Amino acid sequence: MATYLKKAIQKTENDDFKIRQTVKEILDRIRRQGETAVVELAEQFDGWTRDFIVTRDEIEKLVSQVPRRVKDDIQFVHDQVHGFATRQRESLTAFETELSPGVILGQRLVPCRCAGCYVPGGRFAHAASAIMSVTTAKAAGVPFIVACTPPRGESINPTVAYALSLSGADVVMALGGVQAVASMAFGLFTDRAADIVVGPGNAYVAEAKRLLYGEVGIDVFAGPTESLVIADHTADPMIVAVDLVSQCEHGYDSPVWLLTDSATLGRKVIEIMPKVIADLPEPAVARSSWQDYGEVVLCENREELVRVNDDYAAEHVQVIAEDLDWYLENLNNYGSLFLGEECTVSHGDKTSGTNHILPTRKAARYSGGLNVGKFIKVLTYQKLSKEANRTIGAVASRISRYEGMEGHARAADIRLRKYFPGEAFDFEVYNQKFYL
Amino acid sequence: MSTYLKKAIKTPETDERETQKIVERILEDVRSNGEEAYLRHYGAKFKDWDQKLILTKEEVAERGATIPEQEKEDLKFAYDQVYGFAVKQKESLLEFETELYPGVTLGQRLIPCNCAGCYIPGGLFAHAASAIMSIATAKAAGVPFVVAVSPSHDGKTINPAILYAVSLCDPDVFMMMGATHAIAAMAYGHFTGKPADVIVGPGNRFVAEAKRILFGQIGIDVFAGPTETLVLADKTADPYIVAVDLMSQAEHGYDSPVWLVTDSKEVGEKVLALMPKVIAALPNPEVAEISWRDYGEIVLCADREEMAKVNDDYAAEHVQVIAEDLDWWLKKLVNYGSLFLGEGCTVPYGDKTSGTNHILPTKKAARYSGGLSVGKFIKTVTYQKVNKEANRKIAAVASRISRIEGMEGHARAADVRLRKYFPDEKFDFEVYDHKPYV
Repeated sequence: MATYLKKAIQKTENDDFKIRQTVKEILDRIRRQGETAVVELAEQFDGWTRDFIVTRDEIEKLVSQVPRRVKDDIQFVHDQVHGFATRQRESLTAFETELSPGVILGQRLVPCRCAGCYVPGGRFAHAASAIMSVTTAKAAGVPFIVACTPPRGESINPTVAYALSLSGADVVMALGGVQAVASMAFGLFTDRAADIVVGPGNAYVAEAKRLLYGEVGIDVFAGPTESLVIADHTADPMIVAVDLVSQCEHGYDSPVWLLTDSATLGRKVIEIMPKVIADLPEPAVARSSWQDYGEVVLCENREELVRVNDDYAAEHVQVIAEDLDWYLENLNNYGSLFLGEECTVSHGDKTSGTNHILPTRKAARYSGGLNVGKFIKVLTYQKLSKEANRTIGAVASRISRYEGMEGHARAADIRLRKYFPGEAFDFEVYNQKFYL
Repeated sequence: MSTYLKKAIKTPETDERETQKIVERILEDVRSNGEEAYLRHYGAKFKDWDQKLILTKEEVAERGATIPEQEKEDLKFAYDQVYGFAVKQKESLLEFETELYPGVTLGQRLIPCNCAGCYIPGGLFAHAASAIMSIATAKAAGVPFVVAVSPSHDGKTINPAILYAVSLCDPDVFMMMGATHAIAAMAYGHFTGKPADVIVGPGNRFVAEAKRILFGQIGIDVFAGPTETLVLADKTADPYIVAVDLMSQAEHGYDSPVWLVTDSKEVGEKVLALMPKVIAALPNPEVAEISWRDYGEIVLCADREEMAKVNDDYAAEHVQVIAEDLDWWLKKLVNYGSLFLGEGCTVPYGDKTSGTNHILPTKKAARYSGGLSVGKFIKTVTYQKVNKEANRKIAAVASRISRIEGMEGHARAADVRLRKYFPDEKFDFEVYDHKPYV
């Protein structure tokens, strides 16, 4: 039986009614008043009164402020993310098959025509986020990409601007929050309504995506970021503590969890967490999220570690333990997995190449994170020879009648009569009357 | 400029608010009262109800076996085609591992969900094919536990054709439940102890709304609205075939739109003249009459380029092409749920038997999603392994970018590794020295 060495005193709320109401109202207002409402909201929330579309010239000017080394680092990240996304694209294949003679069934992979990528502002400058969404959409083959990021002062963040232009966004808008998501979904200011809107954001952005889902596609529900570390007796407690701290700085409600089968390790980590947090230049957020949401769960063995992990279904899972292959084989629920001490969530967040837009709040039970597949529609098609109608047409006709669907049956029947005139069938085949 | 030879007087819109209220009330009831809420509901609905919601595998097989042999063979044929296509789809998705930078191993795994819930509608028709579409696809995807549900009309049993289809697909649990209660039971794991990770399958507006509300907590396939069919036909098309095909899809429901897009005025006008006659020849013409009157449209386009453009704006669930140069259409069209190329196939073939899935996106969701496919049950997840040496690059970049972004904690998770793996190294950028607490 798993026991808690430390248990969260708060649980992430799944349904925030107040946020939902606010977002609903804003969306309704934008539906009614269109661009006018967005202009007013942007002034109200961001103090922004200029055009939303950031011109090429302005982007160039912003990019020129970015130091060489930062550019090199961003370029490296871009190449890794793009390389991985390209491999992902290659892992999806179109095909055509003839399971029954004359019945050609096929699968096509068609990218969405327009993607909207939200790049959060807020407390941090999310340069890596810009790469994660835009680059992946590009690798998927999306022909038109709109990116929105909230303005900070005079313009958008220069590093974010560089990341966006490197990734190949077609339009960049200095616009944040619900109004940005709605503008992309409705095609305001660009006249290109996004088919899919992706990217992380705060609770309002996430709720806007949730409410608009259906009208547009979305990537995943992005709630507060989560990290879970699975560590056995071989793990270095200092590394484990630093890794947990690195993920609880995200926000006051960012949970981090340690699962271990070593009581010694668990206790040691609990002991040093406050110290490692206190060493941060701004420890308040991490202190609060660790206190409220942090958990340390003691399990009996690795089978139980895996079971508890799959119950948590966390966004990021690190394994610092022996026999990594066993964990890779057995873990089922996670957004992205970090195997071994040598990699940490920061590596994936910033640079190694896997996507950092990942499922939270147990969505890892049913979805992976952002990947090229989220921008690509898996579509089917079929072609039949006349001869194949003898089988398929007959079966379709009969099944339609078992189901009580006479109209469906007749669409099959008219072909049977047309392709096999004079044939006697040993089941009901309607004789279409001719009117013209 | 395209013009309308016939234009819809209605657009598909359900009484959303009322539906939403009813669904929310039921969800709240089952959340607070658990399984008792279902028993109360069905107890009130069915007189002399025997309180039986689960049919055992034996009961499903026994009752399904009562249908005629021909019917069994046909359903088995449909099952083999659908399962066969789904297996091909599974094979089209690949796992991989790659080393884009020395010592940085990145991988993709494809993991099926632990538990899937499949809704099989009842209502006007006996949807035997729907059972196959959802359950067989989940099985081909490798989902280890599948719950299937379908409503009973008397509280005692279900159409045997559906049960036969269910027994072919072999879900782990089968329940007689419908609408919101069925979706809720699967989502919360009531009566099975297995909450579904993903819930799929078509249904009425209550089913669709329950899926929409629960989405997030569970995954879903597509938003299923009234079924839609669009036919693209040029001058070579046989107007009778076109009219019968449109009629065959207009019978689904009062709000099922069918659309014809053509660049031949003659074909358009002939179909317009034929439709009322073809519909009137149905034994029960009422539904198709109303849906054609209210939602049917015929759009006349200047050329095939415009037809393709109009098609992509409609983004219909089913698209049939009865025209020359099918390959051109296959390459050109981007928005549809499933495509039927040439006169030799029609939507009912895909609906019932040819092998592609018939659970497809409606209401323009084809702009961003295909239909049900094995991929909807499979999670594309990533993993990574980095060796110590590769940390020299990866950790350094991660550390610097974290600091640019203002994320000191993230930077330190990289730094602690740089210090541990390269203890005497001098770095030309900020690398934090952790105090040794251990």
